[in-house]
Amino acid sequence: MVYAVKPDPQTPAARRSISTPGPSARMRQTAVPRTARRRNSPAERSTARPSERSIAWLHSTVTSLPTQPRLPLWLKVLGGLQQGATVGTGCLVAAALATYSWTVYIDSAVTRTSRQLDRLESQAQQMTSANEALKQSIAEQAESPAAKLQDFKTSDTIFLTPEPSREPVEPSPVSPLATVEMPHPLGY
Amino acid sequence: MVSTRDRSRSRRRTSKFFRRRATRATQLPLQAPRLRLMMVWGLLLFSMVGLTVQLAQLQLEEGPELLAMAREQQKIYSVSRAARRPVIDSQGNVVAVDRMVYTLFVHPSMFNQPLPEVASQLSSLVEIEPTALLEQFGQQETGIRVAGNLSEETAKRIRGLQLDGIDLLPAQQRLYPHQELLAQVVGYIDYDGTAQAGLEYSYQDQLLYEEPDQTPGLAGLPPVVAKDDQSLQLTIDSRLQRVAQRNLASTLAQHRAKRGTVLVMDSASGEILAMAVSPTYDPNRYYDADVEQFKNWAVSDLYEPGSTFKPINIAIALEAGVINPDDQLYDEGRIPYEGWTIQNSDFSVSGGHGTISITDVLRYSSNVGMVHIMEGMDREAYYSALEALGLGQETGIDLPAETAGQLKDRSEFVSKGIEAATTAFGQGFSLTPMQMLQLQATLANGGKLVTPHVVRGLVNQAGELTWQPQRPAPKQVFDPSVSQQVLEMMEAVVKDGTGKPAQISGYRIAGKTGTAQKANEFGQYGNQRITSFVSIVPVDDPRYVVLAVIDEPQGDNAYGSTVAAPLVKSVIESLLVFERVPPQGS
Repeated sequence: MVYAVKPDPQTPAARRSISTPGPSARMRQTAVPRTARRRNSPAERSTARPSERSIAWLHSTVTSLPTQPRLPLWLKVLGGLQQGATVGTGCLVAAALATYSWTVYIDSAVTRTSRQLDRLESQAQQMTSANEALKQSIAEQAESPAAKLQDFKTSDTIFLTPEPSREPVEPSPVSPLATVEMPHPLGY
Repeated sequence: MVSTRDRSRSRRRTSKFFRRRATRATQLPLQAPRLRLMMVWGLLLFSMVGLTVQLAQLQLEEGPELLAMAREQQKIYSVSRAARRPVIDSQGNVVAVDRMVYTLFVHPSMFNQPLPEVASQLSSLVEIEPTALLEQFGQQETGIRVAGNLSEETAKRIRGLQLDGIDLLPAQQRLYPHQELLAQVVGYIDYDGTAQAGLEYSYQDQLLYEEPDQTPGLAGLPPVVAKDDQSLQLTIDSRLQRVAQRNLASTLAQHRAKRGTVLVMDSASGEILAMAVSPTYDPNRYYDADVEQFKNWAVSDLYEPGSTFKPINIAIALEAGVINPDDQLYDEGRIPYEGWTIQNSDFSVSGGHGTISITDVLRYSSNVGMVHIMEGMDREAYYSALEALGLGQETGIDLPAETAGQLKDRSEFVSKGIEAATTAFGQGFSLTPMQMLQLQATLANGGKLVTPHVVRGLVNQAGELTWQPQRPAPKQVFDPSVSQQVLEMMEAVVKDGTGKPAQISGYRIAGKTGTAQKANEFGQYGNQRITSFVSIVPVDDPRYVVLAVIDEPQGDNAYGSTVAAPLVKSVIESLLVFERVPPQGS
């Protein structure tokens, strides 16, 4: 609670402090006035403490600002709900925008990839057809009488029986270079 | 605090209007702003309720309708690149594959360059003369179809010209890179995308990819076909097929025959390694072909086998115990039989052979000898043995339109002796060349009747089988010793019998020639013949069976040994090299 102190012009101290308006008054307040300094002598010390009269004045003259009335519980809950709903709406809007942009991206990515797939399939088909057409044309050339090629004959063929597969041979650990004795350098 | 001096100053400054307003506000009662507040609040509430009602109406009542409209708008009618799995051969070469082709439409009203310039730019790409193109452009203003079946590269180049008024319409097409090579096996797909013949027809369910998901997940996405990396693998070896096809064509040309076929089977599993059928067509241009050629006559047409059936009869007789391998019998050369005359094919040259062994019967291909061999067998038992071999039924091969063989019914066979007699030397009943191959394979694999097949199954990129078609298990019809004995008799045919043209040095080859008379349209035997040769290699480890059937070769010297045996020999040479069969001592 805010208290605003309205200084009473009756007090000599207060009168002295507000007698000069403006920033100079503020400066005056920070600087200890001469009269106040003199007052710090033991004879005047009793009057430096806030008097009971000034305390009472403080309590009687301070007026509190009008406070907000206490809200009922249901209104507080509704307000909280409204705040929560606002936050939720904001999140949903963000999520909707994100989802929309994601679908647009997915759509364009799918189109791009399917075009690439189509291109690759077309290339594969073309390669297969070209490969087989080459084989056919080579066979036709070989069969034509101009090529003068003959059919296979067993009398022209060498038949080899493959050897049975053997165990792999381990290389000998001793390097041959170490055992060679060199009595004198060889001229190369 | 405003001093009295200040208040008067402010009153002089403010205008009369504001003074009056300021005073009125303080004078009006407290109800007025409250009413306005209530009015605004009521308006907002009413609009919110109205919006909610509209939302409910749109979502609940008109919802499905609007959804359908949206889907309709989002649907993209695009052509998928591939609708079917590719077909590959046993080596991995692609035999049939889907591809995208484009049709070029022009709209001359939208050209931004003069017509001759457009024509000259397009002519080299579509391979039409510029003058012909200009003529086409002059016909109408829009929608002129210039060229179809343009490949992907051509379409890219046309698009690269950056011309206005050009439209490229995509379409899907099945490409057969090897053209005529496997046309009779694989078949073709017509313009509507329907499979019409061969494996494309019979394996449609395995070849077609699953239907794409109809609901588009996202706008702008083409319908995704559930593609995978599987292909249908055949058992056919393209290299052997090429050799067989080429040699068959040259044999047909040499003897001016009507048609022919060469079949190669691995008797252990029933896999067909080569199936050359002539005449054949290019499935890429099926519309240019004769309708007759669409059917694979090796599985659809019947013929009377003739002498190539004799080894099977001997195996039946040995299995029944009627004869022994080293039995002797007397060959008269010509005998009367129930009013008919049966004679050997070489009777006019050699007469009767006299006392001969069973092997000699095969070596000289003696009809009378065969009649004597099968005479000893009870006709009922004979008929049951023929039925057990599958005569009169289909082989179960996975090509479509297979014809079952024809056999006289039991009562007729048993009652008339002439039926058994003619069956003894391979006439009087009919079967397909494929069934003949299946029966000969029983002699090669130790007496088992295997199911011939052309498809190995579905394989993935790594070559692993992911699916195999269901096939019945092989049936044992002969004892392995019986088949071995007959095989050795057939080896004698090639060594010094009618099968001499099929000899290959370094290898033991068994075979049998066949020259059958064809029945003409009057039901009588005419001049035309159907010649065949069957061979089993190598005899010490029998594996491969090769059959060649040539229909109606012309000329006097048109026999199985002169027409079909050299053809089989050339195919066997390549077969032995491709399958890496080393030579043994002969």
